[in-house]
Parts: sequence; structure tokens; C-alpha cells
Amino acid sequence: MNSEREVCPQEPMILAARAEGRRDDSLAEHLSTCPSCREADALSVRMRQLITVHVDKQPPAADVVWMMARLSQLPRTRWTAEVWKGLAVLAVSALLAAMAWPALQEYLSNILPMRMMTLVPMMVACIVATALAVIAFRTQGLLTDD
Amino acid sequence: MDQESFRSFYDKTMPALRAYVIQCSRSVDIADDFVQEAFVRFLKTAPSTLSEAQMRAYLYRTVESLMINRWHSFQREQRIMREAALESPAVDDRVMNAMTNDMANALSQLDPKQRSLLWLAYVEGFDHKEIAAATNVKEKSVRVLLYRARQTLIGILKHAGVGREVI
Repeated sequence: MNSEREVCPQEPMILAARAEGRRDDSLAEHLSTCPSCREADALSVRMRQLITVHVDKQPPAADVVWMMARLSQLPRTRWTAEVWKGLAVLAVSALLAAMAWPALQEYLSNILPMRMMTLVPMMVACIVATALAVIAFRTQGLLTDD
Repeated sequence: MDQESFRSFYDKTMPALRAYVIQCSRSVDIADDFVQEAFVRFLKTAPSTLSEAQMRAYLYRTVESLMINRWHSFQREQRIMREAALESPAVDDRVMNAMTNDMANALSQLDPKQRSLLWLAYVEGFDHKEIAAATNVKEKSVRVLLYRARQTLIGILKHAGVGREVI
């Protein structure tokens, strides 16, 4: 039985050459004189045969794997200057509306029947939602995978 | 990495990786799932600065991790099945042909770590440094562990009637 000292230092080069499918004259010459490397090379050949064992099932195609990786990427948020500007406009408008709310409420109560006043918060919410939608649309979506 | 370079890398790397997982898991379906998952993770998270050997090492580390996770869940399933007095699942039929090969049988009898070391050295042609990176073993230990794994494999093959000269 070989001792551990008998493992040839050339062995990794022999195995790398085998894996890459290249033939090297100096390595071939070494193989003819080194039993340890011959054994390693023969083992490598036998093990590599396992790669070519026929299996009745096609492996996943590269393009399918590529597509899956692309689809499973989490979309990144694109916070552009335009998005920030739109949100700032919205925030300032909301602040002004809040400050002017008493006067606005008085004005609205004069022109709208009392029972319609309950619809005012809903209308405000609709205006805010529309504004957010406009910002999102103008920036081609807040969420994009580009 | 663009799609064209990925395709080339995949076609070059996938067959050996798939064969390795088939040897370890004895299931083509599991092998395909793990190989696919490993490549998807690779595309999503691997740094773009890796060399080709490092990319292959990354893939092997990923499938090793997937197999360990599966082994743990398999242990749980086995326990549940024993408790329910059900039969354990058989080896995938499609792998049976491959398993009739002496080498495949011998590899299946090895310790997973030994099998992994031998595969990376003798199939992928990794040097000791690359094997150390792929298996989380110290580089200095790789040579000795590899030698022992090789001796164990040869011992199993000899026991199966495959002579050293035929290997």
C-alpha cells in the first residue's frame, strides 16, 4: 500500500489536464513513469464516464434557467428625482389643504347639501390616489426591474 | 454575465454537476431541481468577479448545501414514515442503470465528504486550493483526505472485483 508521501505532486496537473481534455507531452511522459499518477488518471477516466451515463430525462435548458433567474429577481424601487418631486408636491398640497380646511369646509357647506359633506373625505382620498397614480405613470412605474 | 456567456458556462458545467448530484441523491428529479436551483442562485447572487473555477466551486457549495437540507428533511420524513409503518421510497428507476456501474456503486458507498473531494479532484480537475474553497476543508488537509478517499475507493472497487490494473 502506498504511503501518503507517495502521492505525486504532479497529480493535480494530470487531473486538471484530463478534466480540460488537453494532452501535454511532458505530462504524458510523466504518466509513463509514475504509477501513482497512472492510477489517478485511470480513476479520473472511470469517474468521468459517469457524466456521460444516459439518463432518460432531459436536464433543464440553459435558457429556461436564465429566464427563471430573471423572473425571480426582486423588482427594485426606482426613486428618481421626478418621483421625489411629485411626492413633495403632493405633501405640500396636503399640508396646504389641512391648513385651509376650516375655510374650505365652510365654503363647501355653503355650496353642498349637508348630507353630501360625508362624501368630502372620500373625494379627497380619490384626488390623492389619482395624484399618486399620475406620479407612478409618469415615471413608468415606481417598481421596475430595469 | 450575459445570456450567451451563461449558456456557454452552463453547457460546460452542468453535465458534471448533474452527474454528481445524481450520484449523491440517486434521483434524477432531485438532481435536476438542485442543479436548476444552484444555477438560479448563482445568477442572482454570485459576484461577477469570480473566476471560472470559483464559479464552479460556488455551484458545488450550493448543491452541497441543498443536499444537506434535503437530507435533514428526508430524516424527518423517514421518521414520520416509520411511525406510519409505510415503506421507504425506492431508488429512482432511471438511476438504476447508472448505479449498476461499478464506479457508481463504489462512490455511493463512500462518505459524502470523501465523494465530494474525489469528484472535485478527479472529475472537475480542481487543485487543492480550489477543493478547499469548495468544501470548506483546510487546504493543508485536502491532500491527506483526498489520498485516504482514493484508497477507500480503490479498496471498495477491489472488493467488488475490479483490479487496480483495470481501474
